[in-house]
This record gives sequence, structure tokens and C-alpha cells, in this order.
Amino acid sequence: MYRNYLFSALFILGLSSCNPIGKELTVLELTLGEIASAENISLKKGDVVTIWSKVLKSSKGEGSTFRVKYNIENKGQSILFDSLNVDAQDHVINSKKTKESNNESSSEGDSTIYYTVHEYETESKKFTVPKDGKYSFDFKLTERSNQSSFFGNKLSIVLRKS
Amino acid sequence: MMNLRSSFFKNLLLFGLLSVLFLTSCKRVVKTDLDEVSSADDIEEVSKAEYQQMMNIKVPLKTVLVDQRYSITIPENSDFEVSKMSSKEIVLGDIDLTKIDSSFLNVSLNNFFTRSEGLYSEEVYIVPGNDPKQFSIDDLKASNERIDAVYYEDENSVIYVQGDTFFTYSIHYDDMKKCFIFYKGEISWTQKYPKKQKLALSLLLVKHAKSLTAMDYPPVKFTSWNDYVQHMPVLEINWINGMFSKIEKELKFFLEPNEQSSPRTPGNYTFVKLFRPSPDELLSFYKGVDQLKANKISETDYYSRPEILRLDSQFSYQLKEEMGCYVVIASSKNDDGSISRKETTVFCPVDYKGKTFILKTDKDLSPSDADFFVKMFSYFSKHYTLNTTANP
Repeated sequence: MYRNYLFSALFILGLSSCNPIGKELTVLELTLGEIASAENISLKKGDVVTIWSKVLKSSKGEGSTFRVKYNIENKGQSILFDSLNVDAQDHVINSKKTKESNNESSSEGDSTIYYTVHEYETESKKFTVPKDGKYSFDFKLTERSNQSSFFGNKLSIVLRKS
Repeated sequence: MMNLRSSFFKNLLLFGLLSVLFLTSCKRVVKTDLDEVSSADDIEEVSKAEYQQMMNIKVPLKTVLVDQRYSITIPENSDFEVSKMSSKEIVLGDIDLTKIDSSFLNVSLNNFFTRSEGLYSEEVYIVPGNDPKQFSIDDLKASNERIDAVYYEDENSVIYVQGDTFFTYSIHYDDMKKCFIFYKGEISWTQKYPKKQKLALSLLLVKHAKSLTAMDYPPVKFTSWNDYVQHMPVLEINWINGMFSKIEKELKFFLEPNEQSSPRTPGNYTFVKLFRPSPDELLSFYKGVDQLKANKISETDYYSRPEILRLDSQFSYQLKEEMGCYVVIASSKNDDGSISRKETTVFCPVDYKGKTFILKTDKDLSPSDADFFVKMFSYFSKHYTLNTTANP
């Protein structure tokens, strides 16, 4: 009887000690127009690096305007250059919404503006490492259109390995 | 009995399997190069070989006259500003210059790396005094503050560190002019670079300090970017290469037609712009170059061009062609015809896989910086990188 409890406990412990989204390698905060890089990451053949887009959107902002291009290099050679799908909604984690407010003064008097901040991480790309070596990951954030505004939004890239 | 034994072995097997699953489910921690670098940054005193290696570095020099009285010799790529006495408190170790009973001169040396980015600073103080023994190198080591390590010391120079700030001091006495020449170089703790690189740069500052009184020195002229790199401290080379690795990636992958990019430095400044111009913009750029060559600019050409080469009617222009680059010197004149300001800009077309890009210096440079950028841009336009180890 006790043995069964022991097995159940061990089974749950075994499962919970696995990290289902992988081990975090690095976090890169993106700035408009700038290339952000994670360099010299040692990886083994068959490792899967998942690129997560960590998005912070404010309802004060003007909606999604993100466009991210990325480049993966090994020994100075580009092995993958593409755009990230930062709007993918298939696998979203760490999602939370918070209500925030700020005071604004105008000629009609002070008023309090309420808005929602939505923070989440979405899986944008899985990359399977073709051979052992050191890899560099570059990301560049640009605006999707000239009319849109990046105001109130933030985007980071989280690299995880599984 | 058999059933009990078989059940015991089944459970044992299950237990074993679960234990293996539990133990192997933890992921190995990935160690990157950054971790390895930070642990290997312990440094000791400078060896004679390291000192000699830095003293053998070639530094192009020039002798300048300060306050129409004192001659000092400074690196050719530096400009300088002189102020008589300083309103701020100036303390060099144990010496408080503001408490000395004579007026002194403060000469601030500036070059491309110190001007806006502030990688380090260089100050010279010229202090009149009749007694050569009034000050010694010991006075330059603050006795009431904690000095973490003295890395180098000789009869008139010292390098020490307080926290992560590196100080280079030197003291010379000029018998002819009856004055002390103090040198203070500082690499701040805010500059996050490996200690080894900061120390190597501090040693180069010792060389700058020792050159101040040199009156006879061989002329030095660098003919290529490789030449510059071989005579630069690692910290400066890495700084430039770090910035150009972004320019390289913009060129090869990221920059789209009609876009431009100017990567931000660690100090949040810009210094180089890369354009990928449209055919019209490119045509307009070369038209401007031709007009500057012929020195024929019509009124309608002013302000009409896109950003790459915009001409302003308040300036007169001079264009030089060197190693595939264009050096444009813009001078503005006062009403009496004297030149009030000179701005230097270096341009360099880069052809990469059938696409044309233009590199441009983003900050107004002093004319003494132009050669450095001409050699840098010219190298990049041929190799699409500044990594000289790949293309020696």
C-alpha cells in the first residue's frame, strides 16, 4: 500500500522535474531598428531551440505593429534567415493581464485614464540544431508600417533549449 | 509465495525505471563563453615584456603650443582644449591643484573614443613651480583612499585601480620652463570591459604621458586598416569590431532597399550610418559628388538632396578622394571671411552581391579623425567585415 503511494509520488516528482518548455538560454530585449544578438551559444546536434516572443501590449498603444527578422549563424555562415511570426497564438504561456492607470491633466481638469497591459510569451519558431557547434542568433525589430506606433509596447525574445 | 516474489520484482523494476526518469529529467546547464571569460579576468602586475610590447606600439605624434608658451607632444589624432585654472576641484592623488598658490593650465585631450563615448579621459595640467622636488610620484597615490592594486610604477608614472576605475598618472618637471607637467588618464568603472583590456589601455596612456615632453620623434604614418589595428589597444579594436559586426549583419541580411541603419554604441551614441539607397538616391549622391569635385553647386541644389549628402548654402565645401572613399570638409565662414567651423564627413560606397550601399560617418569629425575612417571604410568595402584576422 505504502509502496504504491511512494511510486505515485515518485512519478509526479519525475514529471514535475522535467521542464516542459525547455531550459532558458537567454533573454534579448529588442529596440526598434537595432540588431540584438545572442552569440557563441554551444549547442549539440539534435538540440531544439525554441524562439519565444515575449510581448507586452498596452491598450493605450495602437495594436500590433511588430515585425522581427532573424538570422542564425554557425562559424560565420548564415544557416537560417527569416521573419518571426510574433502573432502566433498556438502555444501561449505566462499570459497575464493587469489594469493600470495614470493621471492626465487637461484644460478641463485632471482625469484618470485606465488601460490594460497584456503580457505573454508565444512560441514563434522551433530550430533543430543540425550539428555540434557554437551558434549566434540575431534579431531585428522594425515597424510594420509607417503609420503605426510602437508606443506602449515592448518585445523581447526568449531562447529556450529542449 | 511465487506471486509475492514476482510482484516484488515488478515493483522493483518500476521503481528503478522511475528513478532513472527522475534523475535524467533534469537538464544540463548550458555554459556560454561569457561565463568562461569572466572567471579568467584576474590580473597581476604588468610584466616587463607586456610593458615593452606597449611601448613599442607606434603612435603618430604632433607637438602643439599651449597658451603660446608651453610645447607638449600629443597623439596626432587628438585635439585639445585649454582652460586657465578650473572652477571645479582638481585633485591628483594627494595634490589639490586648486590649493596651490599659482595659476595652472588644464589641457583636455580629446579623440574619437573620448569625445562622446567617453571610453576614457586624458587631462594634462601644467603647474608652474621652482622646486623640482616639490612633488613626486608618491604624491599622486591618494594616501587617504583605498587603492585596490598598483599594476605599474616607475620613477615618474603609476597605474592603479580603485574599484573598477583605472588611473594612470605621470609627473614631469620642465627645467627650462620651470613647471610641472602632470598627466591623468582615467578609465571609469562605468566602462564594462575586462580588466586585462583596461590595463593594456592604461599602459598605452603611460606611453601618451611619457611622450608629452618628447621633442624628437620619428614620423609615423599608417597606410592601411591593418596598420591601425596593429597599433591600437584591444579595447578600442573590440569596440570598433563590435559595432561593425552589426553593420556587417545589416549589409548581409537585414537592411532593405531605401532603409538606413546606425547602430547604437554601448554609450548610446551613433557613429556610422549604413544606407541602402534607391537608384534615384544613389544618382543624386553621385551628382552631388560630381558638383563638389567641379566646385559648381547651384542654388537649387542646396537642401534638395536626400539625407546622404545634403548641401547647405552656409558652408563652402572641399572634396578629397582617398582609397575609394570621399572625404567632404565643410567650412562655415564668419562675415569677415575667417573660418568659424570645419566639419569632416567620410563617405564610402560598398558594393555587395550586386547591391550598392553607402557608409557614412554619422558624427562631425575633426579633420584629424578622417584618415582613421578612410582606412576603416576602405577595408570594409573590400572584405565586408573589419575582422582583420580573417583577412590579414
